[in-house]
Parts: sequence; C-alpha cells; structure tokens
Amino acid sequence: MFIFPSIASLIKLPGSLKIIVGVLIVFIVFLAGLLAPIIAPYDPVKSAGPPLTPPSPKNLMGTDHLGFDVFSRIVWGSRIVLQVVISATLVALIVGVILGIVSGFYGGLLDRLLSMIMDSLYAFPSLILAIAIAAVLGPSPYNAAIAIATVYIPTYYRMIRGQTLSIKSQLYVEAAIAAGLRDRTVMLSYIFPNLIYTILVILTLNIADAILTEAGLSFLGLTVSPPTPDWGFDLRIGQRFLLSGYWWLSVFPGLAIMVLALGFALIGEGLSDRLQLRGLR
Amino acid sequence: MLVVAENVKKYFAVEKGLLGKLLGGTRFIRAVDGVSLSIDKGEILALVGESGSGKSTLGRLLVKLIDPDSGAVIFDGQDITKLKGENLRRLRRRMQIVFQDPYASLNPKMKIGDQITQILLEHNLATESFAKKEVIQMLKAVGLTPPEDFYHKYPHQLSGGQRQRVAIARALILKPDFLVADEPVSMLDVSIRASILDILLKFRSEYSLSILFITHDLSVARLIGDRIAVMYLGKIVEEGSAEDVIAKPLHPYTKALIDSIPSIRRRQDVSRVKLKEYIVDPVNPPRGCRLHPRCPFATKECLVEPKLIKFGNRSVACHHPLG
Amino acid sequence: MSLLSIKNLKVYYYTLSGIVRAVDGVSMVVSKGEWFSVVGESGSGKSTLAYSIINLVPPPGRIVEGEIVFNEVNLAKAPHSVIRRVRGREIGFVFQDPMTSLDPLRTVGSQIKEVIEEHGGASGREVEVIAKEAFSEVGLSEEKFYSYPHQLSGGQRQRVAIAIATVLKPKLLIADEPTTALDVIVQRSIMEIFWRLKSRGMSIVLVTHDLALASEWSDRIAVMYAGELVEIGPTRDIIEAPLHPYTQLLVKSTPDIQGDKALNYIPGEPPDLKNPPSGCRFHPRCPYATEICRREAPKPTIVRGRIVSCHLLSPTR
Repeated sequence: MFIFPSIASLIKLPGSLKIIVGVLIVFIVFLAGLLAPIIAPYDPVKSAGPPLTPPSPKNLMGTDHLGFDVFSRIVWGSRIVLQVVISATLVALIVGVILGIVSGFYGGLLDRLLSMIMDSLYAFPSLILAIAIAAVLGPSPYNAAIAIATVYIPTYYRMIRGQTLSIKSQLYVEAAIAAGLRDRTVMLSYIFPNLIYTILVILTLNIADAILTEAGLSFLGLTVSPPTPDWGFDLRIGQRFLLSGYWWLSVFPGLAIMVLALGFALIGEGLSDRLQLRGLR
Repeated sequence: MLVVAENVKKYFAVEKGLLGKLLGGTRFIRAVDGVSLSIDKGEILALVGESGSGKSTLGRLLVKLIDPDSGAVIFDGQDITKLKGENLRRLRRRMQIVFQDPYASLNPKMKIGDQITQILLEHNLATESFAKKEVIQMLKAVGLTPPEDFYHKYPHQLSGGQRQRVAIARALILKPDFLVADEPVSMLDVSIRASILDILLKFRSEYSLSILFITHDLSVARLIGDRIAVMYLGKIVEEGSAEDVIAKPLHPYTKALIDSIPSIRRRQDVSRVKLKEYIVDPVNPPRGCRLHPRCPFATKECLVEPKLIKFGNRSVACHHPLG
Repeated sequence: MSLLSIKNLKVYYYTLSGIVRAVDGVSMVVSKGEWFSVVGESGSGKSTLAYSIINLVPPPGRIVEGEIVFNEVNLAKAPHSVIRRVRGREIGFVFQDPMTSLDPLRTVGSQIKEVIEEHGGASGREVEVIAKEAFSEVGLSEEKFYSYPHQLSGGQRQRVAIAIATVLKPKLLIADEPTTALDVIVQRSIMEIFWRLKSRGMSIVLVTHDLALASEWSDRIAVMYAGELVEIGPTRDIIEAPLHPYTQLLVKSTPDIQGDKALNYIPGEPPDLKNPPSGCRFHPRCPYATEICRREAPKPTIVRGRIVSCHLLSPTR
C-alpha cells in the first residue's frame, strides 16, 4: 500500500524510464541464462534439424551450418557472455576502486606512479589491448575475463581517484581528519559511501562496453572453443554465410550482443540522469 | 597559557599560468604574517576580521589542520608543529574545531549519532554501548531533544541550526581543552544565533573549555568574547578585553568597524572614521602599516611597519593610536 | 502617493516533493521617495517577493494569486513585453552577488551602455555620457569604466550593478541582500549610495535579513515570517515598540554593539514551507500562543498606525 506512492514518485524522476527498460532487458537475459536448460528447446551442440534452415515454428531462429538450433545457442550463449563479463567487471571494479581511493587519498609518489601506469593502459583502445592479452594467455573464458578485467581497471581507477580527490576536499572530510579519525576509517566511512552512486553508474556503463569487448574477443575465437555456444563466435561463423543469404546465423547473435549492451547502457544512462538531478539539489 | 602562537606565518603560493611558470619566481599570499597571541585556560578569545584577514587560516593553524611556514604553535607547553602519527592523533583529542558551514561539515551518508559515536570508538575511549550512551547525553546537552530520535537522523533531515549543534556535539564529545569555532553562527538566522552561543558558554563554564571564536561580526564577538583580537591582512592590529576594545578602540581600523556596524539604536551619522576604498593585492600588501593607504590618519611614519605594543592589558599596532 | 501596491500576493513553488508556499497572501504599499525594507529570516519568502515584482521567480515557482500594481498596471498579469519595458526603465533590481550578475567577459562600461541602448534611452555619443554619469553617481572613478569585473573589488562591482540598475532613472529600486557578501565598511558606503538616490526621489525597497541594517536606513519596515506578513510600520515604531511577538523577539535577538549583552533567541526552528503549521505560522514558537492561534490564520489589522497580523491584537478580543 505504502509502496505505491514511493514507486510513483520515483518514476517521475528523470532517467526512470531508461532504468526500467534497461533492467527489464538485463533481467530477461539473466533469466534466459539461468533457466537455459528449461527454456532452450534443443541441446545447443546436438543437431536439431537440417543445417541452414531458416526460422520456423520448429526452429525459432533457424539452424546453423552444423544443424544446431540457433535459438538454443543464443539462450545458452548468454551464460558465457554474462559469466565472463560480470566476473571481469567485478575484478576490475574491486582493484580499480581500491587503488583509486588509496591513490587519491594519499597522493605523493604512489599516486604518481600508479597514475602513470593506469594512464598508459588507458591510452590503448580497449579491444586491441584485450586481444593482445588474451592472445598471449591463450583462448579460454578465464583468460578472456582476465584480459577484460585488466583493460578496464584504469577506467575505474581514474574515475574513483578523481572523485576521491574531490570528496577529500569537502569540509566533512576535513572535519573527520580534525576529529582524529584514522585514514582507514576516513576512507571507509567518509569517502567510500559517497562514491557508491558514481561506482554504480560507471559499473553499468562499463558492463555495456565490456560486453562489446567480449564479443570482439569471442569473434576472434579467444574466449571459447567450438562447439560451445558463444554469441561472438557464432557471429563470426555466421558471417561466412551471410552473402549466400543465410542471414539468421549472424543477425541473431549480433542482435543479442547489441540488446544486452543496450540494456546495461540504459541503466547506466538512467542512473546518470538521476545523478544530475541530485547534483542540482 | 594553554595555547600560544609565536610569530606564526603561513603563506600560500599563487597558482600560475604557463607563462608565469616559465618566467619563474613564485608569488605568495601572506595569509598569516607573523601573528602572536595566547589563550588561557577557560578563556574565550574572539578573533575578528573581514574576509581575507587570515582569521580562518590562523584558526586552522592552531588545531594543526595546516602547518605554519615559520613560527611555533605551543599547546600546553608542547610545540605541536613537529608532531606526527600516533602522537598527533592523541593531541587531536585535546583540540577540536567547528566550521562555519553546517551544510557541508557533516558526512551526508551517516546517521549523525553514528558519526559522533565513531569518533569515541576510534580513540578507544569507550565500548560501543557506553559510547552510544555518552553520545545521547551529548545530544541532549546541545539541545537536540529527544536525543534518541535525533541520534538516528541524517544531516539532510536537520535544519542549519540543528546541524551546527551536531557539529558542536561532535567537537566536544572528546572533552577537548581547546575549541576553535570558525564563524559558527554566520550562516544561521539571527534569531537562533544566541542559542548556539549559549551552548558554547555553557561548556566553557562547565569544563573550563578555551575557545577561539572567529567571526567577522564585532557585535557577536562582544557577546561571547572575554577578549577581542582584531585582524587585518594577516596581522593582529589590536587586542584587549572585549569591553575596552569596543568602548575605547585604539586602532583606526577597529573604530571604522565599530562605526560601520548597523545598530538598532543608532540613527544619526556619528563622527565616524571613514576608510578609503582601496583594492588590496593579497600578494603585494601595502608596505609598512597595511592600513595606511586607506587610513585618514596616515603619515610618513606609517610606511614603517608598526609593532604590536602593549599598553597594560591591551595591545595595538599603530603609530597613531586613537585616544 | 502609492508607487507600488501589492495585494494578497501568493507565490508558490511546485516541486517534486510538494508545494512550497513561499509567499502566502502578502499585501503592502510602497510610496514615492520612500525607503521600505522587507526584513525576514531564511524561509520568510522575502526574496521570492522581491523577484515576483518584476516576474523573475524561477520555475517551478509561479505567481498564483494577487496583484502587483505599479503605475496603474498590474504586473502580475501583464504581458511579457510590458514587464520587459518596466524592468530597468521603471524598476531597477540589484542582486546579492555582483560577481554573477555582471558579465565577466565585457568591460563594466560597455555593460552600462548596453542597458541604455537596449531601452532606446539615447544613441551615439550621448550613451557614453549618460553611462559615465551613472558611474560617477555611484562613486566610481572614470578610469574604472574600462575595467573588467574581475579587476574590481566586491564593493566596486556592486556599485557597477547599482549603476546599471539606476542609469535609466527608474522610480523604484529593489535590492535583494545587496551587501551580504561584502564587508561591513563597504556595506555602509553602499547604503549611502542608496540614501543619495532616495534623496533624489527614488523609492528604495531593501530586502534583508539584517534588522539592524534596515532600522538604520529605512522609513518603514515590513517583517515577514514563513511566507506571511507579520507587521508593517514606521521604522522607529517597529523597533522601539514592536507589537507582533515575532518582531519583539527578533528585535531582542539582534545584537547591538552599543546595547546590553544579553543572549536572546527564539526557540524552535523556522517551519517547513511545504507543511506549514496550522493557523498562525508562528504559533509553535510564540510565547503567547492560544487556542485560536492554532486554529485560524490571523488577518492583518490596523493597530496604532501599523498593520499587524496577530490574534492578540485584533480589536475583536
């Protein structure tokens, strides 16, 4: 009863539509991944009909060149994407945030050193750097995750370090230091809680980016080995058949990548819109 | 004397553009330029000055939020300029600060009660349950009743006056010997200022708390200060008991301030000291007496820096003191 | 001779979290050549009142009801073209912060000249002459005419703002906390400029939280509390014999450099304007509040040559 007025007032705020749509999209994909064994009509690595059949009631998205059901491969493929991207992003977040806060708080030599390293990493286009790292480590979902995490640590580091510097100059942080609180306490209780919103915004936008990077890596075969279902890999294979008119092999994986990235991007943008509003208050 | 400042100086380097950096030679704003003063146990010294006088900088120097470029700050017989680490943290228990802006000095993400409790716990002065009880008592003492309710509120749920009470509670929870109050009532409505001053006076009598009360408003300084020190452009120009300084100001600047303050009772234009308007370059203050370009009584002598001279219980830095 | 007549003005802000009744039924009259101060603390609505006179209330604020009659025109309902003409030419406005009310990229002289040209007050060589005259009126030396705002002190910038507001010789000058950001010595010289303008026939409306400042310079004072008018009357009367409990307490709370050293204050907090107290908005903090004060908002009545809104002073009691 009392939930509805608060939800109603939340919806009025800017960005809410974006957040809602974004969450819906992501939720659906998550659900698909979670319930893959139940939702997928066929085993993704077993033949489900004659190869290269167009979408039909029997195979909703058609079959690929090996006769696998494209729809089932999409559903199962979401697991790889989500696992790799989520784990990579979390690692990047934890490392980047901790280093960013410490660097911003203490400054000095440590800060200069770290910033130099991070700026150099950041200067590389993320996909190229990820490819380089993954290629060196060898194709596997774990290595792909490591590569993606490494590539995005500087993103978190730079943002969080900047925010830390700005929060540190706030009067309430000065007051906390004056009260004799330890550095650790100031960072945990005074700086970090005021960063959470920013972290959320970066996180969601970053996941969107990471999804595209992961797609790039799997496009090059650096994530999984066939016949494991994987959107990027299937996209690449499907490309070969595009000119012959078999569009469903590449279009559906491509759409899946786009939609998932869009979902996260919408959440991130929606949160960012809300952040603007708070800033004005 | 509990707190002594000896010829303290603090200069801030001015940010320079590319060309400036190439040409070299840093310029400094002399925020505090050789200030000496002392505050006794249980005494309230009101430090009066306009913006740019250096009064806030001096306040921060005395609680070691910043360090002086030269000179010494002596607290309870100990030179605090060199303290670091654990010794510094232990010192902080004995001196605290309340800032001007009640809207910016509290952590927006923590309950106000927790913010204060955390300080007690950090200094290992209590167990958690005992600390909470202490904090509740303190909230009551600063007039935030019912204290149990206020404990769980966030800063944005409180008014400016209430937030300032929280800031005072936070500063005094450690029972410090010395408090710097930096314009604590300037951003509050006139009708509630006295209630905050009341709290400070109450703690002073109960705990012999020494206070440096920084303000730009001489009428407030008069209400709360035992003694008043007037600052102009980084230097103290006059000092004495609050009564004496207000009733018989010796420095032209002090008199100009007193004459300019709007008074409810006054309506006629009294024979007042008029200061000429003069843009001061904080990097290049006037030579000699810093007031001389504006002072109607200035003579050639004033091109030499006047020293702070004692007249019994008062001091003034002027070649031609009034009266 | 009434110059500006405000009748039952209501200005509300329609925010996401509720309606803020910033000005809730205020009436007052400003005469020709008079210095009229509106005194109030935070949340009193005094600034909103000032801004609404020349229709500068920012959204989500709106004039909801009432009349603002200036020169026989109701500004509350007038079309934008009329208001634009009135601004600057008939009514001048000085804001609190001279740094943001002046264009940092142009010389102060050119900014005064632009006002003259915009309103078609003069052309060619004349414009510069009039502009420089306005400049010296506010006590600025001619060489500063070609300076940029950042080259001037706060007090000088405010003088420029006053010059801009008065160059077309408006009949009314409204100043919203013009000296709050300035030091007390400069404040006095700014007040002296206003005094000079008033002696030449300009009406001054000073909006301030500083009762002492208002008392030293104004002919009449209006005291506002929580969006309502509490008392209006001649300055000396209001200060020496305040009738409304809020005014009495406010006078007592204002420290005086020459008066006694008692620490007086008004207990409690200013009300939340989204949810103001019932009846008289001051009743929760009023030492004399009675049952009717809780129930009914008092109406302004004339008592001893003043207008007061208080049940304790109504002739019916």
